[in-house]
Amino acid sequence: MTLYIFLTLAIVSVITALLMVFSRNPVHSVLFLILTFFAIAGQYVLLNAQFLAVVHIIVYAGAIMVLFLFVLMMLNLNSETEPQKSTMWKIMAAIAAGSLLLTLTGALRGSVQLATPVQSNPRVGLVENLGKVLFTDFVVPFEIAGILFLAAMVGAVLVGKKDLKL
Amino acid sequence: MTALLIIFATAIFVLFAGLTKNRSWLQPLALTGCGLALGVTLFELLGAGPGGWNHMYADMFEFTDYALAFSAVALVSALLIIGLSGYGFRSLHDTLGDNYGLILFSLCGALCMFSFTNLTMLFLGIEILSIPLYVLAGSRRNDLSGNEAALKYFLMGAFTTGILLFGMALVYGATASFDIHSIASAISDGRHSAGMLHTGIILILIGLGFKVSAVPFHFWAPDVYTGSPNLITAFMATVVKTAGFAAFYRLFSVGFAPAIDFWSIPVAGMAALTMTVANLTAIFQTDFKRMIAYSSISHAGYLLLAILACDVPGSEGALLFYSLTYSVATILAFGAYMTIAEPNDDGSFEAFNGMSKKQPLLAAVLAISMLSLAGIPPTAGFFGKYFLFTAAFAKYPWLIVLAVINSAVSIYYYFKIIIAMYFTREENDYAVVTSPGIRWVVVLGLLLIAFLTIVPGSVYALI
Amino acid sequence: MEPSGYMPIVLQSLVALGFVALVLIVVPLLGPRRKSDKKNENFECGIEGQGNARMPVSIKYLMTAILFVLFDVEVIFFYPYAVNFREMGFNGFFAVLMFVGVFLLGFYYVLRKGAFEWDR
Repeated sequence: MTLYIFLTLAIVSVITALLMVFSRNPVHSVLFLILTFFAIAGQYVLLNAQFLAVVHIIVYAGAIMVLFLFVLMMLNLNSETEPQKSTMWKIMAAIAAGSLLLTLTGALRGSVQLATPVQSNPRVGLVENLGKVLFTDFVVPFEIAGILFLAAMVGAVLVGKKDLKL
Repeated sequence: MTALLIIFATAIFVLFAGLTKNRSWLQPLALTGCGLALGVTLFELLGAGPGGWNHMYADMFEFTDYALAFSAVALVSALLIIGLSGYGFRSLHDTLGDNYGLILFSLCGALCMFSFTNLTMLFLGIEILSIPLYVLAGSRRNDLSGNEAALKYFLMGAFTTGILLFGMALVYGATASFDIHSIASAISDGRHSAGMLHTGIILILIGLGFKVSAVPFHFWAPDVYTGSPNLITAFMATVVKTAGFAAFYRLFSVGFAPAIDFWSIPVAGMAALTMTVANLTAIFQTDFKRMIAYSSISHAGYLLLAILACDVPGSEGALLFYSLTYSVATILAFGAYMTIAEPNDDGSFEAFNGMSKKQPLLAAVLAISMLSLAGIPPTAGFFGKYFLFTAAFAKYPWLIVLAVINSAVSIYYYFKIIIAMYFTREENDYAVVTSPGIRWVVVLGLLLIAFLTIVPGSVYALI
Repeated sequence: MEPSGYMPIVLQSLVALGFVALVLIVVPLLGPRRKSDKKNENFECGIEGQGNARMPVSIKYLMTAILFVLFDVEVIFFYPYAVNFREMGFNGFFAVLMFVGVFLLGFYYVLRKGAFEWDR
């Protein structure tokens, strides 16, 4: 059962990701990306990472996709201004990415024995357990992430806001 | 940790002080914060020890002498850069507080990268270091080359962050830990899956290689260095590079030490390529900032030698000494460069023609920093290269030969500036505009270089 | 959790999707349809459409969206805290307080900078 669910989700995520890359209309790309995110969230659930799945849908498929749409609307997307990459570029990009894929699969093939001890416990990714780890062992990275958010906020205002006379 | 807290608090103070009308005390505030943090760090390093911070909070960080010494180097660089900022930021008004705040936030990230024991802290440190810099690179919003720099830096940086994160995930999958000591013991015990680990190490190598701009991941550096505001370029060339190498060294000398036979081959190749490509390209530059960009890439090549020699005692000290001399010399060079390039809007080598007559002090400073970067004895840069090359000589004699040849090549382009300043007959009518702040920084930096030249062992033997 | 435990969620998603699909299919079938050039215009009541709909929008929307994402991520962190609220005691409370404090500082800063002032 789990295998079939995994296969379905994997096929859906790969196909929608490809459609995202190949569709001509950028808004369609964003919509396909949302589908990809949903499929990946399903994979997280299969891996017992339930909280991550929920966050993935709320933050990525929700908030960040809205951001993507705003970026698309900010750009001038008329078809005549769209930059056209030559076929040469596409072939080169495909060769580069393809060799990366080959190298990674070649290197990772056969190294299936995992040292991770967490797989046995199906409750490990629930919000409760994750919260315990986050607020005890990982409390310092959690607070430090606050600095990151503050820096991002200041940066966003510095980039996006006209100089105001205070 | 105390230094990190002080810098974070200063950043917030500066941000909110920037909202008020009186912006004249922003720079003193930032300087005080950095000076205080430097004082605390030196106090902890030389005598008191890091206090109770170690082994708290699940061993996320470790304030060894190594971390404290590198924090001190970054803080010294930041102090000098903020000292120059009265001049470099003089055209900023409403965004002055934001600029100081972002520089200090970025410094917070660097401080995280010196003391991490957990890969999550390393990742957060790199992000906190980088994200403010993406913004700062494009902080002159009406300047096209600045926008280009910011966009290139951001896109490439975000992409390599993804690669770095992928590598960390694979290392976690292979060793079931984010803690660098546990990773090391998992590798040496054989409790890991080799394919995953090696792929992860290579991907992390790519990510960090980008951050320290090692060939072949250096393509962003010249454009970004040229397009960014001068002070931000100085920050990228010094603090970011120091932080990148300190983290690189710590991760590979502690976490991946048992796998040294695996990763030393690509790192050695990277070092050889970086030195050669950067020095050969730097010869053909005509713009000072582009030349400095390639020079900083070539220094990344020399610094990679310290990582290759990480199991040799003394390599830590060599890395520390080299980072300090390189940072101080680069900042001094930028200080002198700004006074002639900014008022006349010309960054080419010809702009320096006859500078020795107009501003003898600044010309002398620029000449000394060029000599130090080239590693001419008896400057501090020579001792830096000497420590670094002797540490790596036993293991990689061929690399050291290459490094010495490359240093000889680098003399050519560093001397172009000195020749323009002292030995060129044709002169230009460029005005040199200085400020008291620049003179202070220059004198302090010269004293520091003199100290490093006279007693190089004092810093080398610190850790 | 066992895979069967997700059945209610799957069912709910199916019902939601099914309702949308049903409405999309049924409504055009039930309602009257008239197709003509005039009917298919963007504005039926006289004003002729001009130019292109693909116009770059203001960066203000993007600013709001970016700040929304940041605060959205902040709120996500409350969720694991809320579940463990009693067990954590004051340690957890102070951790969250510090985190929220940093965000509040950022919020006040953004407010003072006028990032939320729409018409300036």
